[in-house]
Formats: sequence, structure tokens, C-alpha cells
Amino acid sequence: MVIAIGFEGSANKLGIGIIRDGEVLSNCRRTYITPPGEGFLPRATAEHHRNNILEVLREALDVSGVKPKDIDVICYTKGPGMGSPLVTVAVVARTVAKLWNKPIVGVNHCIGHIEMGRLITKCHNPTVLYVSGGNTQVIAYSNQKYRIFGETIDIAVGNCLDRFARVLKLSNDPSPGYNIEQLAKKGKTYITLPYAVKGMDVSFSGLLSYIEEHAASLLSSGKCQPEDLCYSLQETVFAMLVEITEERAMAHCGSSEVLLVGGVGCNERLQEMMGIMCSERGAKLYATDERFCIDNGAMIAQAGLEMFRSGTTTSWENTTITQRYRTDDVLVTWRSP
Amino acid sequence: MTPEEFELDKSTNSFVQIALFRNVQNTKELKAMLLSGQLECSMINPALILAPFQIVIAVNKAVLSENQKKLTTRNVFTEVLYNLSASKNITQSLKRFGINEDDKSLVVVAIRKNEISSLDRVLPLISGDQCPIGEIKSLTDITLIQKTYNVKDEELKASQLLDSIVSRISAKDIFTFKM
Amino acid sequence: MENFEGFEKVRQGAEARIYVGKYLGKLTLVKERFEKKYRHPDLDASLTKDRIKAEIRAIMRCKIAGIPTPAIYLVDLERRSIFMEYIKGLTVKEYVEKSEAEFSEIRVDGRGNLNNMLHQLGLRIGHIVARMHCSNIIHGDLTSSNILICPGNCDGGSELEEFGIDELMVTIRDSLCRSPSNQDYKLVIIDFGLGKTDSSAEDKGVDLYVLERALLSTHPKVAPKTLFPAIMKGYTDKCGKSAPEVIAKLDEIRMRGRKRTMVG
Repeated sequence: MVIAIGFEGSANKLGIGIIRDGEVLSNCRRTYITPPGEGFLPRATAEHHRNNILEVLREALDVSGVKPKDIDVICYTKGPGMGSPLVTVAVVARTVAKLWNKPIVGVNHCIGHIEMGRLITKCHNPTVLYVSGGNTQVIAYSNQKYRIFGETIDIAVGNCLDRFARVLKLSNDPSPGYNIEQLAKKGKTYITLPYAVKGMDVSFSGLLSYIEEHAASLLSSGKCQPEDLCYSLQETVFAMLVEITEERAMAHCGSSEVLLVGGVGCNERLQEMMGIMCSERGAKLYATDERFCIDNGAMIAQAGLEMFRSGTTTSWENTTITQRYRTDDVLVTWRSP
Repeated sequence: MTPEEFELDKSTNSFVQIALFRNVQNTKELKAMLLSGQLECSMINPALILAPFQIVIAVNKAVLSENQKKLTTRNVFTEVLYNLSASKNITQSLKRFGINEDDKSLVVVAIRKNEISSLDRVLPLISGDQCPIGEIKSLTDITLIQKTYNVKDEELKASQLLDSIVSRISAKDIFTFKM
Repeated sequence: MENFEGFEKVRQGAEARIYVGKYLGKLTLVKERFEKKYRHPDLDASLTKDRIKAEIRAIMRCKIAGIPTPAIYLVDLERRSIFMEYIKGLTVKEYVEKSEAEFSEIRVDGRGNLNNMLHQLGLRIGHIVARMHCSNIIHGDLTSSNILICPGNCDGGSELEEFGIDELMVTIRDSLCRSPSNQDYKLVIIDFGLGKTDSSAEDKGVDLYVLERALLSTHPKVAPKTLFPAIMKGYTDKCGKSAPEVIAKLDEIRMRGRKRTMVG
């Protein structure tokens, strides 16, 4: 039996989770929420994490009923992410590793999402669409690497949604994406927006600047309501995501499973569209809910546990953080070639 | 002599019939009948025809447009002349690809649907010698064709002239060709 | 299928169904961009129409510039289809994969080895991409599946002959090995649905970036060291003065991916 604890804080969520051989014993989280119209900045986010991390750690241990001595490995997010929040959480992880005298593993955040998705949904070899505030990637496993088949060539889809929410001054509670989704359900008029698929990649910056430029006049002229803009935006960006998932990775790898991970992956309309695409080509969609889609500690524990079981630990001098850490930089030692 | 016949897109249930005439004596009369709508056919200047396939492509497109109620010109027969041209100028296309009063040879194009064809009514009206469509080669003016379709030698390094022509016919609604 | 009586469906891609059959007396390939139920019907209709038009425009621009592309027989927006000349050949993907498999089994004969041959192929691909870019044509989706290698005599013919893939492989390899510059095979570019016909250095850079990424993921063994460097060499040789600007853009675009901070 292996028990792993995972520390995550690469963006505005702070999460600590404990996993025992694939069973989630606890998965506690706090989210740093900013006022409408504002995004989260590194310093304030790090402060939020600092103020909350010990309480979350206590909670994660209490909920799981696990004692520090039972834990086999400490896992933390090495990157990618925002510098100071990453450091804040890594310091705590390093400290408990020393205090409890346990091995430590630095985990790639994106791999955490993938491994958590695989664990929860029990899919085998999926094409992964990883969509969040900072990432937009179509990933497939081959030859000990999670290879990136398609990605954004500018901003991430979640970033595009967040900044759109700021244009409309939507609330960031619980998340801008959630509020866009709720408004979109009431949208009726479809407005044509720039659609940018370039080969296997997508681009959202043109779409965002189009909205930033035209939203005010579209709304004031009565051509559409905020609900319609949310609806049209979702229809457009999600169609782009489904298209690159299908066109590339699935067609190229002959894959018949799709796994949707990352914060934007909870969006029900995205799940619905991906589901239709899958059923049309005889494939199956696997998605998780907000507990596991949104950044959390258990996912770091799960990926770290897999690494640990396959013999990988991180040496003390390498327990650093890095803001840039590509998914395809990690050698996947725990899956067969 | 029976006219050459080619099957069009299956959804149209139609066939195109093509006949070539030389030494035509009454072109002026025929042209007048065409203009007054008495003849259900197209009459084409053979100098601009490289091969029957060129006509088949233009007729196929015209019949489909007619079925989809998307004709650009008056009827399916004028549409054939319009389609043959790479230009979107209707008057000019009809003039170029249609027949002139003093032409001595012409290509007659009709459409047969089920067993009904207008060709039987048209052929007896032409005072001239019907000949095999294969003979069109001797009437083709390659230089004029290249000029009319604006096909430069650079293009012909990688494409057959016929392919360049039929591609232009097929693409003209979407792509504006320099003329 | 009822739309394409007399045709046989030969492939279903993600975006289109491919049918082959005899049409107007010629062997014809039909590319039908079928309806995507997952996307909004207005978006679906406009994307389909835009892509058919983009494809036709790029094909015609290439043709006029003397770059081999299929002849177009009919554009039918109602049936969301393009009817075009069927071209007998292998995709570069098929060819590279088969060559890799064969060369790993048998010892190479005196005429050259796999790398040499792929180098020659890469040069030719580079030349043709350069020629497109020099005519300001952006393909938008360059992959090894979207370039066909055909024997020089692949024109014409109205019957779908039983031609063996093995036979075709041998013909193509012979041409590639014997003399690098010979013309008894040609490359034909297909699938221009994401094509553009006015372009900047940025667009050209993205076009090359898309190709590089596609090759690296499809042919991880030969693309990094052999195929893609040869393509870039061929591209630079043919492109002349405008090459440095495009290559600088390509580097910049690569860095964008690498350097991007990825948060959350």
C-alpha cells in the first residue's frame, strides 16, 4: 500500500489531497477570488496561499484520517505556473518532507490532470484535451511521453474566457467560466465570431481582441444581450477545441477515447459537444466533475504516487519550481512504452 | 449519324448529347431561332473547344444549377455558354462561346432526360454536314483557347491544358480569374 | 451516400468523407465535408462553405503558379462537396512509414540508405512549399498526409486500376534513389481547406511550424534529424531573399510555444 500527499498551488487554487493506492482519502481546496473585472496577480495569490495552507493541510489530514507517519511520499507541483504561488506551496512541501523524513517528488501540473482523469474515469489510452486558465493542449501518449498534438499558439482558452468575463464585469465567484456558462444557457442569438484553427493548433487572441473591441457597441446597439455573447463565445471556442481534438490526435492515433481535463473541462456545454463528436465516430468521452477537473491536491498526489511507484523521486537539490514546464518534457516511467 | 452522348451527374437523370457540324449554310437563321428561344439547345463555337469533356463539365454544372434553381442566365442552354467561359461577364461569355452569323462550323449541345431529347427537333434544321465529334481537334484554336482562358505556359508545366480549362469552369463562381 | 450514386466511400476523415468513382467518364474523387452535429448549425454551414471556397482558391492559385494540384470537376456547395481528379499515388506519410519498416528489415543496397532518400524527398517538399509561399499561398494544414507522391506518369486513366502499393513504392523509391533531381515522380499538394491566398511572413512561419509539428509527431524517428532539416534546406534554397524573414518568424513562433508561462 502506498499513500501519497499532494500539494498544489500553481494558480489561484490551493489544494492538498491524500491518495491511497488510487483511492482519494481527502481533497481539500481554497480558491482565491478577486473582485469582478480583476484577474489574480502573483503576489496576492501567493499571500492567499500562505495564509491558508496550514489550515488546508490540517483539514486534509483530518478528513483522510491518515497520520504523517503513514505517508510514503510527499508530492508537490514543480510547474508550470505562477512563480511566487508555486514557491509558497513548494516551501511547505519541502518542510513537511524534512519534518516527517519522507521522500519528495516534484510533479508536472499538466501530468497531474491527466493521471487524475485516468484514475477517476478508468479510461485506458485516451486522447486528452487539457483546457484551463493557462493551458490548452491536445495530448496523446506515445513512447513514454505525453506528446502534444495541438495547442494554443497564443493565449489559453481559460484565459480567453476569464478576460472576456472581465469585459462583461462578471463575477469571479466561484469562477468566471462558471458564470459565463450559466449566462450562455440563456443566450439565443448566435453572433459570428472569428474562428481560428491553424493546422492542429488554435488561436484565441484574435477572437478576444474582436470581443474587446466590439462588445460595447454590440450591446449598446441592442444587437445582442450579454447572454448571447456568452453563448456565441462558448459555441465558437468549444467548436475549435473539439475540432482539433478530433482532427488531429484522434484521427492520427486511431484513438477511441477522449478524456477532458482542466478547469474548463467541467463546462457542460463543452462536455456535450465533445460527447456528440465522440458518439458520431464511435468513441467514448470521459470527463470528471469540478472536484477533479479544477486544480486540486489529489491530482498531484496521484501523479506523484505513480512516479514514486515506478522508482522516481526528486533529489533535494532539484526540489525547485519552474514557471515553464512542458508536458512533453516528462519521461513517463510508469506506463508501458 | 447518332450524336455523342455522355452521362451527367446521376442525381440529374440526364445525359448530354453533342454533335459537330461543318459547312453549315444557315448559321444566321439558326442564331435568330436560338435568340427567339425556338431551339432547345446550345450552339458553341468549336474553335474554343479542346475536347468534349470541356462541354460535359459545363453542361453538368448547368443542369445541376437548374435543378438547384441557381441559374445565373436565362435558361440551361445559355448557362452552358456562360459556364464555358472563365469570365463572370454574361454578355461577353455568351458572345465568345456562342456562334456568329458567318460561322461555318458549330457544336450542338442538347440534354436528354429519360427518353426525351430536344435534339431530334434541332438536327433537321441545320443545313450542314454532321461529322464525328473527334474531328473537333481540327477546328480547335489552341492559341485562342489559351488566350481566352488566360492559361500561361508556367501553368502548363504542371497541368494539362484540358485540366486547367475544366478547373476554371468549375471554380469560376468562387475564384475570380484575371482575364 | 444517396448523394453519390456510383461512388464508393474509401475513407472517412475527421472533416470529410472521401468517395471514389467514375464521374462524367473520369475517375473522380469526391470530398464531402459532412455536417458536424456538435457545432452550431450557422457556424457549421459557414465553416463548411468557407473551407470549400478556401480550398478551391488555393488549388487554383497553385495551378496557375505551376504547382501540381488536382483538376476540379465540380464544386457543389449544396452537397458540401468538391469533385476532383483522382490522383494515383501514396501520401508522404504512407511512403515514409513503409520505407522505415522496410529499411529496418533489409540491408540497404548500394544506391543509398533511408536517410539519403528521405533527404532527397525533404528537399523536394521544401521546394514545393517554397514555391507556394513565393506565390503567397498558405496551405494552413501541411502534414505528411496532405502531400502525395506520384509516379511521373500518373496522369489520365479512367479506370481505378488494381495497382499494388508495393509496386508504387518501388517506382517511387527508384526515382528518389537514382537521381535526386529527376522528374519521374512528382509531389501533389492536397487538402487546402485551411488555405489562405494572401499572406505575411507570420502566416508562412505558422505554415512551416504546423508542418514541423505534424512531422515530429507523425514520424518521431526520422523527422527531427533528417526529413525536416532537408525540408528547410530545400525551402531556403528555393525561397531566396524572403527566406530569412520567414525562418526568423518560425523561430519566434517555436519560442512562443516553449516560453509561454502556463498557469493553472
